[in-house]
Amino acid sequence: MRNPIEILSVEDDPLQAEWIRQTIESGVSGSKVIHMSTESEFIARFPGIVSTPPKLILMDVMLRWADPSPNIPGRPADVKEGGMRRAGLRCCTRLAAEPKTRGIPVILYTVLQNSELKELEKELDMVPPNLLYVQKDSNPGELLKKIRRLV
Amino acid sequence: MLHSIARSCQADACLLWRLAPGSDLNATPPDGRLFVLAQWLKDDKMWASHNLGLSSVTGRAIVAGEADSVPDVRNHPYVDGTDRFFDRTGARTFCAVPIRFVDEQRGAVNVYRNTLRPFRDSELARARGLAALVPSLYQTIRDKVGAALMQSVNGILQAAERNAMDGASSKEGMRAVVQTICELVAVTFQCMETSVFFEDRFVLPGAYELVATTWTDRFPKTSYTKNDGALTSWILARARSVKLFNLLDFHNEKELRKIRKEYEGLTWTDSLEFRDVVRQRFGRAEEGRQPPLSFVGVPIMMGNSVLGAIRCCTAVRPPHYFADGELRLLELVAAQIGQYWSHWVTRRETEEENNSWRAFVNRVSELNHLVQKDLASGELNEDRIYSEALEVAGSVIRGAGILDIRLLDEERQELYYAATKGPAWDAGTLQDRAERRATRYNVKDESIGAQVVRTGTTYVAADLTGDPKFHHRFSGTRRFIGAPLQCQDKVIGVLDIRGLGSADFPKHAVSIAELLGQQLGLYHYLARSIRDLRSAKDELNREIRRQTETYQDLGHQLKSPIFLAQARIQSVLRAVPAETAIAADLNAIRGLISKAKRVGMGIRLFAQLAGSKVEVSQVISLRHDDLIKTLIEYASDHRLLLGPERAVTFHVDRRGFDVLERHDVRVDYDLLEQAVNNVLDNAFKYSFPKTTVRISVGMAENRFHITVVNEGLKLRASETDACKKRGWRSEDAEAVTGEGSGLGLWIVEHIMKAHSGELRVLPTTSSNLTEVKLLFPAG
Repeated sequence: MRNPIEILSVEDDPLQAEWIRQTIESGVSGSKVIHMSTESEFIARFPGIVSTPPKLILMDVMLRWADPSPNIPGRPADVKEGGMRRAGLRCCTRLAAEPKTRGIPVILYTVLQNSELKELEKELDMVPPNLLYVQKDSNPGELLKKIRRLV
Repeated sequence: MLHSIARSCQADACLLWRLAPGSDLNATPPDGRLFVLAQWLKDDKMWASHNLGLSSVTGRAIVAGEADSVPDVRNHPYVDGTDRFFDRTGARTFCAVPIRFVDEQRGAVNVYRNTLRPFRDSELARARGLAALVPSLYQTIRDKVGAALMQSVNGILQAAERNAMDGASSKEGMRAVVQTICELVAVTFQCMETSVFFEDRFVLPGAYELVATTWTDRFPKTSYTKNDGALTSWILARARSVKLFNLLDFHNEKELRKIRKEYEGLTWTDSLEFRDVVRQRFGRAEEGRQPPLSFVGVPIMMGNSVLGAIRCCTAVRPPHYFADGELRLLELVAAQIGQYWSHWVTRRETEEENNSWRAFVNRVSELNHLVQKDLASGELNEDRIYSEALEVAGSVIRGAGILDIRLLDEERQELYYAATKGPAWDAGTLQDRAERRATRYNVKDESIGAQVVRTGTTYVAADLTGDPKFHHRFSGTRRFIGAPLQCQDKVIGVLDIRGLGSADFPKHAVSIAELLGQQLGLYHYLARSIRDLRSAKDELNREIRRQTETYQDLGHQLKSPIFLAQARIQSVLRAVPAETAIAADLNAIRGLISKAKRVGMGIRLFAQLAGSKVEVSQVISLRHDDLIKTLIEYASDHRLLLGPERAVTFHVDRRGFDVLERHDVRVDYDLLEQAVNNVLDNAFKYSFPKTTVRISVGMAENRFHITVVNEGLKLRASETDACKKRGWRSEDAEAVTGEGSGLGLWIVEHIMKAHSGELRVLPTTSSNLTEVKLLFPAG
């Protein structure tokens, strides 16, 4: 049996996350979606991403820092300053800074418009080289087309 | 000493003669005269005569430098035997012994006898020996007198300075000090008149007014300028001392030539009647030789400037003459008085400056109160402020006679009058005044006001007479200060201050004008900012109204499709068997629609709150079944939206709902749904995983309550009020919140107020339970 094509989805809305999983796994043959719901989870599990890089990352832009719990990890200064609107971009910067993850294709999957995104991107120190942008839409055709091409 | 000399020669009289100033022993024949410096007469009958010529025996002895004697005064070719001196004293024989004074001036000691017994050689030798001591004795006495005078003057002035340090620096006090010194000098010099004149630039520059005098009669002239041809004027104009042997020499051509040779252009304009006055003072109205009317006058200097003059006239006692020693002494006194006067003037100026600044600060403070009062009413009355500012300038700047404020009309680049002060502004007919006020000045022209506005620097003119740049709207204007009105380097006008009289503006006038200019610039900026703010506020209100209407419109547009979608989904759900995949999907869709409805309603309420307050429209009585159904449905929707991973469940406690059968609770149901949804949204959003959100209703404090309790993020006691504020989030909430704008509880609070109810948020308990209550009035 062939190894599944691992696609990492970083999405904090559980309904959307489930919809993304269903759409990709049913639309991209042999794919398996791994889900992370918050920025702090992405940071915590980043070493795993480095050691076993996924084929593609689908990244929401506006992400919560953490889920409610008695022990919420403290927010670093840049998170406090930049807020949730830049969370996905901070994750991308982290990917670009690490040689082993730099080449992973990243699709920014967001409700933000391209122009709004470009404004946010200007604030980033580092952007992954193969960063793509797809606006969230009820029609998943465009998203699936890009995923298929990249994987 | 003279008595001793006379006694040593068994004589009856002894006179000390001195050559008068201006005498020339080297001329051919020698030119000059002698006057009596001192005398001793056995019976002290009279004062010896003056003006003895050099052709006399005494004069010849002085010219020759050798003693001479006259055996019989009535029978000698060089003696006028008919001289009243011989007649009155009975002197018949005398000898003259020439001496040389310490200052090299020549003189003689004459010894007279009332008998025809000739002087023996031994007597002559004794007379010569004693006469040789006279010059140094004379000098010693003079020095002693001079030193005593200076010591006294110093003492008086030091005491005056000490008093001044204690704050006593009135004009009367100054006059008293100078008067005391005049009297001291008059006593020392034994003269009728000692007077001091000073120029008071404070009051009348260029005029030297009488400050103190010992002359008790009517004073012929109490004020001098440098140009009015008087003797004192000459001293002031040339800054030179004058010493005259006899003022009557001005009526003697030969003597006048001698005077003019030493003092070029010197004149004496007083009439000869003065002589009669002096005679009466001397008590010698009878004819005959009169003592000279001596005069000595000294300028009072400070550096190169002439502050005034001190003069002495008519010595009342022998020798009736002011010698060089007196002149030098008077110069020293003048230097001392000059210093005192300078100190006094400086003190007065400082005092005036202090008073002016104090008054300025008080008046500006009053002006600020005025502005604050205006600000409270929301509008700055600039015209009144400018008028008040001119009142301030007029009251604290001495000599400010005509004042105005001109403002810059930026559009036309012209200066126009905004406020005016001074009688000159009201002169003429009504039309004159109107025209005067309506005058405008182009800021590009060469006028002073235009220059001040262009450069932003103060223009100060001490004397505008003949200045082509000055527009002579007000004749008689001599001094001018034009200070810019500015704020943030921008000049908005000019404060004009004109002085009419001859007195200078005080030194601090420019600083006061500049500060006032800055203050007015600030007020102007404030007034303009208020106008701009008001205009911006009006525009903002218009914009808010437009936005509110847009939000309300969008909310209305959303309401209908969402309502229909919600109704349809409920209908479909009823037709689909529960616990199926389709039912799960439909429930999820219902949850999403519910969220969309909540957001849509949120937009409408936000729009309402931006304009005024939440409006309660369709009020109904809350029904038991409807409320249970709504609460369960919305709790279910929220749980769905949260996703299964968090595993947050909910529980609706049905026990309290029956109170609605006994109490009438009237609500706007749309608003109730919104309030409940917002509270549930927070409860689910901030709950820890695997916890339960508990919902209950009931009566408390005679009010109906819907209570939501969740276990999750902490809300501190200090945050229970803050959490109702718009946009507020706790530190932890920031970390776990994704979308959302922090409006939830803010809107709930307004909904509850609209129902005369209350949103009550209790701080989180130690077991992490947070309770939120919606309290409604219950009938």
